[in-house]
Amino acid sequence: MTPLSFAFFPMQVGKDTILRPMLPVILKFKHIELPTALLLDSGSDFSMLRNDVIEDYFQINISDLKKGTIDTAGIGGEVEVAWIDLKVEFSQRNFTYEETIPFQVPIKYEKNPPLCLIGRNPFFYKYRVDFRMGYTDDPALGKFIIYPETHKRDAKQFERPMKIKK
Amino acid sequence: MKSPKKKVDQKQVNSDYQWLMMQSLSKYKGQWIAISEQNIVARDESLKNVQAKVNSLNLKNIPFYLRVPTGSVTA
Repeated sequence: MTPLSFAFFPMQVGKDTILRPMLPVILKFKHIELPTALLLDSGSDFSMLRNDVIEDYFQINISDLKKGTIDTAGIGGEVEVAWIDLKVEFSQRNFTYEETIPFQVPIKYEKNPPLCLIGRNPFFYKYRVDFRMGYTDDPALGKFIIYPETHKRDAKQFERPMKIKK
Repeated sequence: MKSPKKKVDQKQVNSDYQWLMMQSLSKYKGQWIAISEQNIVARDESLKNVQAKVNSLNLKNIPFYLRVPTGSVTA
């Protein structure tokens, strides 16, 4: 399983240049494909797409999707969301990986995140991500590397946190 | 609006993404942009409008789409 390495995406915020781990992907739903980039957000529990992506691009009626309410600290209090599974393909050179990822979609436009993002569950269970902004002494030359997890270690050797039931 | 029936050219997408990383995107804050063959071919606050413009251009492949955020992103 070959790791893939990507440069951080520079964006201007005020007078500063912020480097973001944006993963170029192809989002897929049935026959529709959207090439875009998702923020790889290790601080987010789940993945989230803006609702214009689902309604306008993929032409899916959000009212037809499974609903839920989440307490989302990042975008302000309780947010009503819908859930949708999309295929996410990412590749580099001749190596391509594809995962089906459940995305939250805010029902109200004003609750949309500024960027579409991939959170930990389930992406970080399947891939290890190294954020190497200090790869050289110039952060602009940093990179993030995605390694497919191989699950080589036997889970029986480790103590499971008491709160987490099987 | 019709579904995009064209295919994604992965090589073109990678090339456009690399090109996009070198561009200043300050003037596109809060907008969706569509990139094809190292050009920003459409821009608007509404993704629907960007798609409509893209559909009118009769491009060879599906372009790369990105929404440029207005500020910092903090959870």
